Amino acid sequence: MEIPASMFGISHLVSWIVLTPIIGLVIVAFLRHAEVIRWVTLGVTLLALGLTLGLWANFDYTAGGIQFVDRMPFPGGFFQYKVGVDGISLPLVFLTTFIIPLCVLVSWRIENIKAFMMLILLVELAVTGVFTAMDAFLFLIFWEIAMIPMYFVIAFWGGLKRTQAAIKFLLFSAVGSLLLGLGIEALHHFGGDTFDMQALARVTYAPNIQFWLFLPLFLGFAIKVPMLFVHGWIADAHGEAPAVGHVILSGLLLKMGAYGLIRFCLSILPEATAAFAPYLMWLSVLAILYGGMLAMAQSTIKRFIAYSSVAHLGFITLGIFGLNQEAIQGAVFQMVSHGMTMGTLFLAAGMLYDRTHNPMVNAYGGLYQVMPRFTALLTIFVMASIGLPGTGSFIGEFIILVGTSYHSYILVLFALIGVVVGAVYMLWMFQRLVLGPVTPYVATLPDLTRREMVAVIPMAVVVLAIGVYPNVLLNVIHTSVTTLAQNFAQVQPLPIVALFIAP
Amino acid sequence: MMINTAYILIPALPFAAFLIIALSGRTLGEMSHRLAIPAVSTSFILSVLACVDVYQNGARSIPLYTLIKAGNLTVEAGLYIDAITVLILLLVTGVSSLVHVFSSRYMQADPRYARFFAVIALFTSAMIMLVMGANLLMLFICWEIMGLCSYLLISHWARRPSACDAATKVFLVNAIADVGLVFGIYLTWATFGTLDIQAVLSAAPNYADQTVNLLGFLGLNLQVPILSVIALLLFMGPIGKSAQIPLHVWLPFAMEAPTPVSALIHAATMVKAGVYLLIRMGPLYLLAPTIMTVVAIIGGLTALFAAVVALTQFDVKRILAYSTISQLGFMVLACGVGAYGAAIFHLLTHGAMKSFLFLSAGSALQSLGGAHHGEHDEHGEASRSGVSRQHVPLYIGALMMALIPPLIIFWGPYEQLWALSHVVQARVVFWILGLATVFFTAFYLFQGVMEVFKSPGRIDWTTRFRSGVMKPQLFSASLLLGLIPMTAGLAAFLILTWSGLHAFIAPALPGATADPAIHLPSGWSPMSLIPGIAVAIAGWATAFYFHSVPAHSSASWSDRKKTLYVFFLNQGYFDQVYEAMVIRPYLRLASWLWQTFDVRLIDGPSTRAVNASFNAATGLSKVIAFEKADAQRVSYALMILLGILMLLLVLAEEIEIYLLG
Repeated sequence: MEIPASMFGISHLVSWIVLTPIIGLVIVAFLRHAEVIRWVTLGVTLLALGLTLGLWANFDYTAGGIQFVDRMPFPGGFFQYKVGVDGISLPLVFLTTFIIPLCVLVSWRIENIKAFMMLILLVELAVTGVFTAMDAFLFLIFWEIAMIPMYFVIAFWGGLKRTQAAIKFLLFSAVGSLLLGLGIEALHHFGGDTFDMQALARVTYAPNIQFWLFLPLFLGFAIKVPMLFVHGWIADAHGEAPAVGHVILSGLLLKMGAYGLIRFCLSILPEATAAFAPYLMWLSVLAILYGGMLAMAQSTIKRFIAYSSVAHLGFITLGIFGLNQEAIQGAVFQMVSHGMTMGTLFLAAGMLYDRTHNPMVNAYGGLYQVMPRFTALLTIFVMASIGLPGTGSFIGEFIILVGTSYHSYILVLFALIGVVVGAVYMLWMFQRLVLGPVTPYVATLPDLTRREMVAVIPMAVVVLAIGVYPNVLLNVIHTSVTTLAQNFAQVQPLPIVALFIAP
Repeated sequence: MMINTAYILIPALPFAAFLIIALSGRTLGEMSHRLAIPAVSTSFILSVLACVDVYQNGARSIPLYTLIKAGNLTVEAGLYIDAITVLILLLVTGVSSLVHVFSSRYMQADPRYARFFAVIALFTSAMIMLVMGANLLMLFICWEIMGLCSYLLISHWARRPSACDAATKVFLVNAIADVGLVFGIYLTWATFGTLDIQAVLSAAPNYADQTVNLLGFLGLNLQVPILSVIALLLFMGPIGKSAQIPLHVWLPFAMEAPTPVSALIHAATMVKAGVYLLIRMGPLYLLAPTIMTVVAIIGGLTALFAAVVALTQFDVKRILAYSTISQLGFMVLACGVGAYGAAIFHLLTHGAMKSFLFLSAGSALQSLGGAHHGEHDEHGEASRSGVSRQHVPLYIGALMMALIPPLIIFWGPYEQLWALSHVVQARVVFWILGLATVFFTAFYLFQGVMEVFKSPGRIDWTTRFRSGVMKPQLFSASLLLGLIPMTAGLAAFLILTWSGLHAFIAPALPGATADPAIHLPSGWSPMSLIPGIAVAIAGWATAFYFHSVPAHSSASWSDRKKTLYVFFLNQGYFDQVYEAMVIRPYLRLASWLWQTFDVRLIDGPSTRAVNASFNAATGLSKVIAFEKADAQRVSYALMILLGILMLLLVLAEEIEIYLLG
């Protein structure tokens, strides 16, 4: 194992981003004073953000492949440490390192501060790891690590039914991981005894093998997204998690599933993906409508946002399985935008819940008078969630639907109806929470503190910035998606049955 | 270069005002208007200069930056300014400046003063960008931002539940209409490969023969011209934004907003965006004659229906709302028959006229309601508000309004409207529709005025100024707004305006360069004025008759007449039908889906699995003698064990190789 000349050089930036949370974790483990722990964690996470920005600045927009590759084989040799970023993972790494410091700020005064901060750092490690790992086994390890802190966050800092929600979350995750593990092992077997994802992507698999590889991988990721029919865990997990738990869950963890779909299903198994894609697009559109309608039937704020999350992720998977330049580019764009938007909406719901510990929508009303700052920010994010022009969501959805229009206009039409359904439930919630007469219940609530404002305003700035000047993000994504989309231009889509019986 | 900067400043100044007011929070407070008024007024001055520039140098396009680049989809943000743009700009910035001035007084002591000014500044900026934007995506972005502003302003007095309900309804009705608009924009992109409006319009004739199979997904074959589909879908936007049947229901609700907002957004500017879209995309519509007919029919029906409903209403603001809907119907009708010059002319006159009416109604009602106007029900009923002295501006406005439609509708510009419909039957239908609407317009406006001025008295202006009911600021704004249509009307009467205006906008009008078969006549025949005036006079006379003969009260009506009256009094039952047919079934479906489908079918098994694992863990803990062990932790430990086991299984092969060499 050679020691490179410049340990701190640009070529190792990705490793440093992944390592920073570990270093922070170790430091925090030896600290005692709550105040010191807070500031150290904040410093560490900000450092990771700074490194990501450095990475972005040095990123080559014109190169399609993986950049900043850092590899180190382990002595045992069956898998390796290999990380790197391309145009698809860089925005997601940025999303992660951007959101985590804000999470630290929001949970400034939480109980058991040391354990909590360590868990947050662990999440950052795991999620950046998932987004940068270029070795399938390493990917799986990071994937597994990400579940653990989330379980504890729900189980120890959660609401009343936290135990059940946490176990449910774990159960679904375990099933997903099991499938994922099987799939990755099978890939390893058929892909020439390697876990290297770039090498795996170069192998051509027979269609019927692809079919069997695709199923476990797809299901494993679909549970995490969650796509429709495997979304059973999300409402409970969201319903019971604390404010920061939401942000991590909806902002980061769900994106791991979508990212996995792109990285494994699309990149490695193009024929099988192309065969399943038409059905999955319909499933996604169904999720948009279904999630939207179910959100309307909820009476608690958090479950409400959880179902709306199902609808929004329908848009992302619709883009991913659109399998062309516009759709995938829109999907990656939307992942970042959704992470910011929904993350903050959940954060807002969490802040409200932390003040009152009442989850029912009906208990609130007239917050605009009591909490004007909160209202102003909530307005921005509710509108962003509806997909109002001027926010990132609009651009993301617009591009995704342009990509979808190559396949079917009926899909576009249904997705657009889904947007209206989305507007219905969002405005419904907004009206009940914020407008109307002040209920005695909320009359004495304090407005957002300065610290909370510092945590939320950066999100608002990003959401609006990518809405007004989306090219700043689209440029990064562009070339990598082009390479991916070119693959699919050559793939002849087979019916699933044909895929199954093909040699 | 300098000129380009000046053009960019027109939308940028109000936007900057919005940003500063919004970001400064409450620190600016009651000083907000000192920032907003100069910004918008400067935009107005720049618009006047722009008007001169376009008059001298013709249309101009200014590229800005690349908005979106994804695959084949490239959208360049840019401005396009021609005669249509500058004329509407004049209206928007002019009315907006006056409304800003008016609001600085009207909204005094409002707790959300700064927010109000931030939002109307944002609105002004969005409307300016809408008419200046060079592509359909920018148009749509501004279109939606205006919708947002409308939402925020209708819910301005958020303590009133009715205002909040109204805001949500208005937003949603527009959202439904926008589905069609966005879908049309997708289809435009898929057909033309660009969203730039000028590029689309110049390429449109090449696609005139192209058809698309509408029922392809069902395996059927229904070939429809692609341009017709696009035109119809784009028309969905105006149906929503310009309040045409069947989505006109939102406009009366929008009257929950503070009166200056009703003047600015729901009468003078935003509702004109739909008409603007029809005019702007005119060349495309001219290639889809079927859709032109649809547009004309919907416009005509709206004009007539709303006029009749206005006749039966008592609430001043609601009468004004239905009158707006009716007039918008006229503009859409004009677009539908290709009389775009007439549409623009009516758009401008009506914009100035109606904002004047609203502001005077607002000042009158404010003087009735006292300082806390926002917290009371602001709707004064016309029949009750007999305090006549304070209604002089309203009186002037209503008189003008009652006078103007027959004059402008049946004179100059509308000559086109009648001449253009080639089919004789169509022409007759439009004649009847138009005349009937004029009749009812004259009727309800006169009735409204007379209701308000039951006891005309002497007006003592000095007292009014001193008593503070009518502040000079307020008065001057009303007066200025009154002057615009008055001058316009007078000048129009001398025909000079029309021929001048026509010469100015003719090159920019759709169809100007099209084939000579659809040549637009610019001549004027005084003969067409006579039936219009006659019908208007008939309308006034009928109104006067009903008013002066109390015996003609509703008691003596026949049953059928009563039914009709009640039908229109309830605004055609549109709201009730939507409530019963759309909203309630939707809510029931949502709750059924959740209770039956999600909870039982999807969530059920996983919940049972959780309980099972829980029980298993508890059982196991008993077996292996962790008596006091927390079942949850044991279950967690089990999970980890399972995970490790799984990992080992997955890696069995590798570990074997590793261990055995």
